[in-house]
Amino acid sequence: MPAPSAAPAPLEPADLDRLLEVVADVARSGEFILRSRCAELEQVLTADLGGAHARVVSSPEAALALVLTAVGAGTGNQVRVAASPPGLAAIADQVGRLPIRCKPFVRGDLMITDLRGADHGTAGPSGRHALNVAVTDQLPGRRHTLDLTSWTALIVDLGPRSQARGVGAAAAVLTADGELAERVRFLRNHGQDGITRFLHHYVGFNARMDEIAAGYLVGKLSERDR
Amino acid sequence: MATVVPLYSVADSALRLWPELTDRIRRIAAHGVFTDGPTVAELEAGVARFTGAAHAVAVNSGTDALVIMMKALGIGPGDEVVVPSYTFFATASAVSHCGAKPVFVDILPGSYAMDPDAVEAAITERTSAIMPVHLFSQMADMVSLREIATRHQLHLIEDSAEGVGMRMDGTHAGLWGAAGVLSFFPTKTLGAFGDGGMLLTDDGELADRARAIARGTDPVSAWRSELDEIQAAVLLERLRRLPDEIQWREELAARYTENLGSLAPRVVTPYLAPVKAETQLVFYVYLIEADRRDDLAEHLRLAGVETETYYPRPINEQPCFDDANAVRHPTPNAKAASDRALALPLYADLTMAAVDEVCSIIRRFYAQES
Repeated sequence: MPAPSAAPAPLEPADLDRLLEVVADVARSGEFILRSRCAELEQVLTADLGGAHARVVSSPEAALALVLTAVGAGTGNQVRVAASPPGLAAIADQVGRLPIRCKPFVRGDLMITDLRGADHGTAGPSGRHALNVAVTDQLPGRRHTLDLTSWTALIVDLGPRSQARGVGAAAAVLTADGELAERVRFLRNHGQDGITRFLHHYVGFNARMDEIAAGYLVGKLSERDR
Repeated sequence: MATVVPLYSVADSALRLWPELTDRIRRIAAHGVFTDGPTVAELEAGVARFTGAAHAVAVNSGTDALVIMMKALGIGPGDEVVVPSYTFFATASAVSHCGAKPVFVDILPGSYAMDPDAVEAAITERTSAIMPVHLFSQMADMVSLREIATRHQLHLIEDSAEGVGMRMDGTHAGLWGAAGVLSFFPTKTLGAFGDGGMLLTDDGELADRARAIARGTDPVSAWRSELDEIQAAVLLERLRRLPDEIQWREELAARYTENLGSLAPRVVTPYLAPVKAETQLVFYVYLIEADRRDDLAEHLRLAGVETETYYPRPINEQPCFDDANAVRHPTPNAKAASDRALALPLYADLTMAAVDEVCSIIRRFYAQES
């Protein structure tokens, strides 16, 4: 298993073959963004997490913006960040000042914890915060040590420097909260519901995962689980 | 009915560029850097050369490019940005994501671009920028808009996401003001196999600030956004073929116009709106306005032809915007366009035979009602 936040490394020959096959398949199919491979990846990510929801997105930073928006972090509540890499705190601050149109946030303050590069052990939320969000580079599943039910949401980095070793910027939001998952689904795609194009229910983001990234990860994770 | 003519396809183009693309992907796989690496740097240089921009900064999407452009200019809470009400949603949401307020104004028929008179009437002491959008095939009236921006000391920035190849008075879309953007969404004239975007500017300090914001190293502002090396590889191969593809699109558009012209006024084909400067069109989208638009779209769908409505609802009528988070001026032209506009298939892999077939189906529709 590669170390978290791994340095760049050449692809193994089998992985290169997988990548070329996925790129060719995507080009032939005409499905480029947030389609069947992304849906399949969401199924794979939650296969061992009974009752959990997964929403694949374009990057960990985008995932954080989506989660903060979805929980109403812009309504004047305090957002705390622990162990943040450059950019994470700034994004939390930026999103906290945006006008947010969703359910009013009344439960107290929100803690964001960055667990990337750390030994998770049996890490749980720190302090007594009503909402807890963690960013991790370790994959969910049988060997995952984070208890999803004690976190409001987990943001799993699936990019090139993560444990998953994706082939582009990528991430997933995992949560046991169905309402939160649904709001993230809208927000990642310009606030659309995925059925009616060009009808925007929220001021959403462009935070969608590419089919190439998803298709490659489906193959990698399936291999991991064999 | 199975799809006979999709709205968009790149399958044939992908086959043609596959050997070179495979080589690029192998090189990426060998160095193991999958975002913001040497392929992205090569693409930035290539796009800068093609457009004439002094600087090009690659990011994950056209939407991100818009946000980063405005953040780099310091646009934020308390500011208003004047935008057209007829555009893709990201034009407006990007303003919101900076903490500023979009001001929606009406468009002009023909160009679907913001009406300069409406822009000037919408300017207040809170206005920070004017951001026209270049839609479908032609640029907004940049001469008039530049005059207005200068007169009121406002930033002139461009949502030139659809504008690759478009020029006015020899200046590429996106370079008439402080900065502009390109989108590399797959259906775009220069499209990737996923999302991608780029900021264009002649201002070195602005470019540096935008890059720092995109990398998360700016001390004040952040909007982390990277372009994948694989998407850059696709775009480099497509960039080499772009002039020929732009020419082919123009020929396909001319065929559509020749075939459908006799249906006027029930069908209105694209025309160059009155402009104050020499304009180079690029047909990214072939947009008609049609009587009984929805019935025509259904008729085409049943015959196996995909179409798209750009856009069924002006942005100022979207449920997410209200008087708290936007300024919504009346936009009757945008509303009229949204009731009649329909995009027909147009892409580099489309054939003349397919265009002729689509036009035959449209003529049969109106012949039935006669």
